[in-house]
Amino acid sequence: MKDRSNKYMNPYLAGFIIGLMLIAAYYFSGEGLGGSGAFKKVVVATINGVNHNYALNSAYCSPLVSEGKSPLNSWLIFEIIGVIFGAILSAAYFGRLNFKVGKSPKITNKTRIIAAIIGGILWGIGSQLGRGCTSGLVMSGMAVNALSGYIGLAAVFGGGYAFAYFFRKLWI
Amino acid sequence: MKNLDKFIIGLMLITGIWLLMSNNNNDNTKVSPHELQQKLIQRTRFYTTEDVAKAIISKDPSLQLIDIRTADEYNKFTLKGAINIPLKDLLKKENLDYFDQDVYNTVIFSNGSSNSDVAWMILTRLGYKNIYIMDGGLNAWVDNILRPKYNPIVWDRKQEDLYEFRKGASFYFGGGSTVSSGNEQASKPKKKLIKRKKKEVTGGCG
Amino acid sequence: MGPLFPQELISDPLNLFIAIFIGIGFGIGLEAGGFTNTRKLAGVFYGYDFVVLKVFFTAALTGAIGLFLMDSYGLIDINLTFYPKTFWIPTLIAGIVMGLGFILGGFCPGTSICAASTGKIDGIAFVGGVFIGIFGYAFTYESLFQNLRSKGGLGKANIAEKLGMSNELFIFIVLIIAIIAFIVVDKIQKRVNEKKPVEKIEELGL
Repeated sequence: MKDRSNKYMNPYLAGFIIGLMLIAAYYFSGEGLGGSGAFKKVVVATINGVNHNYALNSAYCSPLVSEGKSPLNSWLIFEIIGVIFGAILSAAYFGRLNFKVGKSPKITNKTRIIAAIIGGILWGIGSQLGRGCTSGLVMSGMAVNALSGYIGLAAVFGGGYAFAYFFRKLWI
Repeated sequence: MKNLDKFIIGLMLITGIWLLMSNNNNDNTKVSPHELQQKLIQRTRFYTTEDVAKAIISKDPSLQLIDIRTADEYNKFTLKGAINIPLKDLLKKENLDYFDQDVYNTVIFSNGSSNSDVAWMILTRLGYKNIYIMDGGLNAWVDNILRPKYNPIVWDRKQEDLYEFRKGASFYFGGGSTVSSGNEQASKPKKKLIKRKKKEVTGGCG
Repeated sequence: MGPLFPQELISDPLNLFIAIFIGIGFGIGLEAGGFTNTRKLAGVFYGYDFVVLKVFFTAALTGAIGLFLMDSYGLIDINLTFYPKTFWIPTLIAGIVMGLGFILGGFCPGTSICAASTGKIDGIAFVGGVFIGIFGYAFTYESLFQNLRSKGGLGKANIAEKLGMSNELFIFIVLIIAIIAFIVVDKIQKRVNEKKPVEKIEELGL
């Protein structure tokens, strides 16, 4: 079989597909596409499962648990389940379904993993404070001309470019 | 650039220009002129005076009567339970809330039919459902319900039944007199507003 | 017409069922576009691979053009959808935090889910990091973040309205800027990769 693991879809076509999904999400459900929202719901469900009273009294969790419905029974969770299926399907097609560490050849696996965890923590905090990540805040916001989407766009990419020089060893 | 790149970017550009052009027909295209014409030709937008009388007598909870005459006229005489929204105030936000719902059958009336028709057309154009007109307005109401006449040239079973109903209704509505005290009815509390159910969308990542 | 679910035109289970299919399309787009490869993602900041910019702007603009076209033909009422409220101070601060996270972690939450589920170990580590971050945020929310989070609230602010132009014109301007950017970044990418290509560039599938 031909090795397709270094082949990628045309970026404009991939963007077009994601854009159509975004329209479908707004049309059917009135929702934008999200990423970090599902993380939040898993976290709240975990806290709620371990200590229900704490969750009820916490200003962060209570809006999601006070109605008695599980926070996991939500649109974003089902969307993310779909994302997982979709990613696996596509990776299987391209032959990329294997365990490996994606990184620049110049750094060790350990460095890469530590950087990934720190990056994840920053995203976790940032997405909660800023009401969403690149998908939910910026992309879905831009699709409806929301001011927050464009502020997010400027801040995320502006921040990225501002810090890029200091961490170039990680990537080039 | 590859061909696919050019194709997708071109597609976006074309739809982008289309969007820019569609700028003008932005508002109120919810009911097309064609659709409006269809609805205008049909008689289904009318409630006869008898329909209204029956609904009032049976205290039909789904009936919402809207009097679009001026407040003065409304205070002198109106139908039982009617809400006064003068035609010139029709498009005020708080008044539109009475129409923007799908719980009641809203019946509009004025003295004749033409003002009601104007209101009906505006409301239908806004996309509201279940809007009706009382055929002939209050003039017809007075003629048919309050002072029914029976003088058929040829005897007709249907006509007689209608007359019997009208006579009964006339009695119910305190017939004979065209002036029933409107104040008593006008002072009745307005029907509770039931807005169309819209779920608050709580989505998003945050 | 749309959005269907907030107006209760489709049922709750169907809505969640549709969510899975929309997610599958989103996941395929992200994976096939190369968003599980962190080197392709980080390339946008160093000029050797601009796939993020291309996919991202194409997606956002396809969405914007499609949604506003549908809105102008009455197929969807954007006001009834999840329209994000703007709180500019926390969004700005959080955006910069996320920008730093992007450079360090090489993913954003959505792409890390794809990477983790297709076996990228750094993606799994990133997902773990996000959970740690949100748990930390949840336990310190009342003392650290609650006040900051609602600073600078502007409500459901629309950028085109703020700039005093129509939605359609604003989208068209962004579209033109994006197309120019697509052409320029291709040139930059070519120059960077000719002068001093990154190691193992063949893995990027450029």
